[in-house]
Amino acid sequence: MKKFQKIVLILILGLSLLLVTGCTKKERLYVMNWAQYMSKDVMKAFEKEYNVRIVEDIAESNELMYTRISTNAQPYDVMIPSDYMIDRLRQEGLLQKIDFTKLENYSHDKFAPKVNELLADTGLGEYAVPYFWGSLGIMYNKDKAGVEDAVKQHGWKVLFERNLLPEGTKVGMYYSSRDVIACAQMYLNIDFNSTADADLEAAKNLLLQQNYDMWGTDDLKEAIAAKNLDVALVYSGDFFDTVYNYLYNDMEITFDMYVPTELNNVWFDSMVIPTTSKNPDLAHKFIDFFLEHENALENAFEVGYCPSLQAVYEEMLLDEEIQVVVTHPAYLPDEVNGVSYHYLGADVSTKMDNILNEVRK
Amino acid sequence: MKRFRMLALPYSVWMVILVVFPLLIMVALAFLDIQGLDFSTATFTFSNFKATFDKTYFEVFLRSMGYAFITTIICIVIGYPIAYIISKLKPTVSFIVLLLFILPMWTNMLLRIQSLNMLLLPEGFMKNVFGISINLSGSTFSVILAMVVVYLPFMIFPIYSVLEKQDPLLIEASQDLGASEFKTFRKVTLPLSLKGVASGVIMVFLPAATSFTIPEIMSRGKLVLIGTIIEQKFKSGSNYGTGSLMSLFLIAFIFIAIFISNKLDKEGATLI
Amino acid sequence: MMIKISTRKKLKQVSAVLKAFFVILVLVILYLPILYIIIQSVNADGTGNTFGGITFRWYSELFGDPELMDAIVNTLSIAFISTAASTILGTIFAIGINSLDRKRKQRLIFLNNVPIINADIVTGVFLMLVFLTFGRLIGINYPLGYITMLIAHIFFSIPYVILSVLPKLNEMDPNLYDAALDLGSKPSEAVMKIIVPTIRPGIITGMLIAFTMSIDDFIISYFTTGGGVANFSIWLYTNRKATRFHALPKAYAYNTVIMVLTLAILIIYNIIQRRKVVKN
Repeated sequence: MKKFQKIVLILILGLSLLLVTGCTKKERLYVMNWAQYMSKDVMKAFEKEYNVRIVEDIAESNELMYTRISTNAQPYDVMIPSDYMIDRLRQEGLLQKIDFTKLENYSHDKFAPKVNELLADTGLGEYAVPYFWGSLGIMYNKDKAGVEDAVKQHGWKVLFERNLLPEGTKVGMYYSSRDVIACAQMYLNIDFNSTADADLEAAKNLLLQQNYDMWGTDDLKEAIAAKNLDVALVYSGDFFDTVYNYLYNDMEITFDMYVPTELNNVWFDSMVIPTTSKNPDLAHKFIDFFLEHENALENAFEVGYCPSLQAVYEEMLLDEEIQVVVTHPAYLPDEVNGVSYHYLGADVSTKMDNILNEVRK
Repeated sequence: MKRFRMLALPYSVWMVILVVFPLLIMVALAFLDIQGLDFSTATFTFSNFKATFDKTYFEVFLRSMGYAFITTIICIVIGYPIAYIISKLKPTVSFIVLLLFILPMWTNMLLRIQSLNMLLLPEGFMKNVFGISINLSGSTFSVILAMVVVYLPFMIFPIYSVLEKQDPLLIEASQDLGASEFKTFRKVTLPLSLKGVASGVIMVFLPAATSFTIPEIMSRGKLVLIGTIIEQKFKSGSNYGTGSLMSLFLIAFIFIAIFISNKLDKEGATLI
Repeated sequence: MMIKISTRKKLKQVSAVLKAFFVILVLVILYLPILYIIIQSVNADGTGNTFGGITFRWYSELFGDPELMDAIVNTLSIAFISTAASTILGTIFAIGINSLDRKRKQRLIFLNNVPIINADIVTGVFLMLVFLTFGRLIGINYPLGYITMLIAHIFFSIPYVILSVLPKLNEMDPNLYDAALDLGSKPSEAVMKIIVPTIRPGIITGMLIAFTMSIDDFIISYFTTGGGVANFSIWLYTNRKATRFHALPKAYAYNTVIMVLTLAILIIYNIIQRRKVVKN
């Protein structure tokens, strides 16, 4: 019988898979990271040098990262969350302090000066080793007449004053509550790290008056590239992702990004060690490995975002192939006047989520 | 047949561990203000109730029920005739046609929905390659279309299964007694198939009520449904209480709906 | 009503054509996105915005990506195993539920429907909780992995099988089984030869739905897995943000392979069935 044979075949497949995955007796290092956010080759080199096996779980968002770590679902040794999530984890006592004596390759001044500023401002210096960084920006469709000028001239205003844009411009907004409210607050000249109710109300009222053509996350960048949107709030990483993709496919790049420098949000992801780690020594070795110049360089080339190590960035500037990326004004956010997000607490986050639900229509 | 009662026992145990236990935790969470699942620092509160029965969320809830309802009706209107037609085909042909209806579901839903969305957007592949530029994405129509496309097989299958191999003697008898094909259908086939329709309604309405990927993509992010909010509450890590209460409310709502329909339908023609 | 035979024949022909047209129309709408996926899978322009000519590079990249292949193997193996398990278990449980008294039946059916109405994330989070709690009770500190993902898949598939089989059981004449016993057959024989063939359409539709639910699941799998074990949906949802690594074209390629493979199996099955009919 066909059904029976199918069943047997796949039972065998399944069992053999179990055997294979359960086989190695090496020491394990549990890593939680974003997709394609770390060079496989460098990880393999680490595995070889220390004779360990890296088990990598991929996160889909900072929030899902938080759920996994707060429920102690897996004994992660190293995680790479974003700034506000690191702040939250630190506040809730889920992170270990980094023992800098175990990091041979670490030195405070190896990082870009702005990164050190951010570390000081957020108070995360004892818990985080910066990884990649960037800013928020406005991605736009170059082919729509008048859009580029409007964006460069008005910055954040174009997202909130439709009349500044040419007729028929399609505008998209990021539907992450923190980012959209921060953007509104930047337009209103309010500190986006404020917890005051009035500041949240102001943002809400502004957003209620808006009428966006699309709310999305990573699909915003694709919509702009395809011209189904003309203007959108994005992360600088989103923009460069798309640039790399179009470069790879030899397709014309009809979009660009403008980073408002007078007031913006600068984000940085960092390596942290959760308290659940069973192997902090190995975790430190792992972080140290990625601080070593050659490894960091190879890693940065593969990942493509802006590295927080100054020497690595400077060496990347010399590479011909990625000139269009590394020399782009949005690549290195050192000129940006802005800070990263602080975690504002569960209550404010909930309020922000609720605002997002109300303003999306 | 009574001897088969024991077979239900393992399922009861399975359900207690995997459904009842979580339900009890959800009830507990509904009254707690809790960080993640850290019960040691949780505090008692009624704020989750305030959040769930808030005007905005009530609107969202009604909206979700509306979308699920329309989707279900359309699925019945299209699905029942299709199930009927397939059930009247030769067995080998009917199996193949049936499979053709479920095959698209074996592609990844995200991809499929995004592809459907791309077909409805004015710019991009369709315009550049075929010159077709529709602008239907982001509308109620596109959301309902996608929901029906996704959930239709779940309506067709249970209805087909009850129609297939329905006692042919019953049909013959009815026709021998002089009834037309239509009347036979109305008086014999249809009532017997209602249980299949009921299963179909459960398998379409319930998931449609909490779906969130489909409306998210097809409405270009503009439509907020109850599934979106529950997802948000559970992802936020500090709102498990509200998320649990909202889910419990949905479960209770469905329970009441089924309870009422059971009472209205004493002889058990539909569900039990 | 006395209608002439020739008119009746014509009416039948017209209605047959209309029926075929209706079914084909619906199928076309269902398959339009599939066509899009297939075309994009061979599109040399990986951004998907234009058609850059036909290429099979995405297929070679698909097979050359070990992480992705691992995820696909997991998806398929879990789909097959969980489908087999949930179909068998679901059928057995349905038979059990069907023979219960009305009150108990209602209770179990209500519980059965809870996973169906719960948003995926709710099922996922609480299954994770159950696994962690019970795992730690028996001394496994970090139980999440392939096995827990498999159990989760079986868990959410069984309700669909039960919902498919129950109506058929209800339709079946309850006396048939007892009659078979009276005529001297053993209980297991009676089940296999009387009950199962009668409810077969329910079992088959339940099996197909179970397979569908498993092969496409993301969030429940995400929460109930661990140790780096991913399935295709997890791979896709987490990788699609990194467009620079062209996850999308590879995903198109994978889905096309699935489509083509199953259609091929269908055609072969059809040919075999026809040969059988001819032989008879």
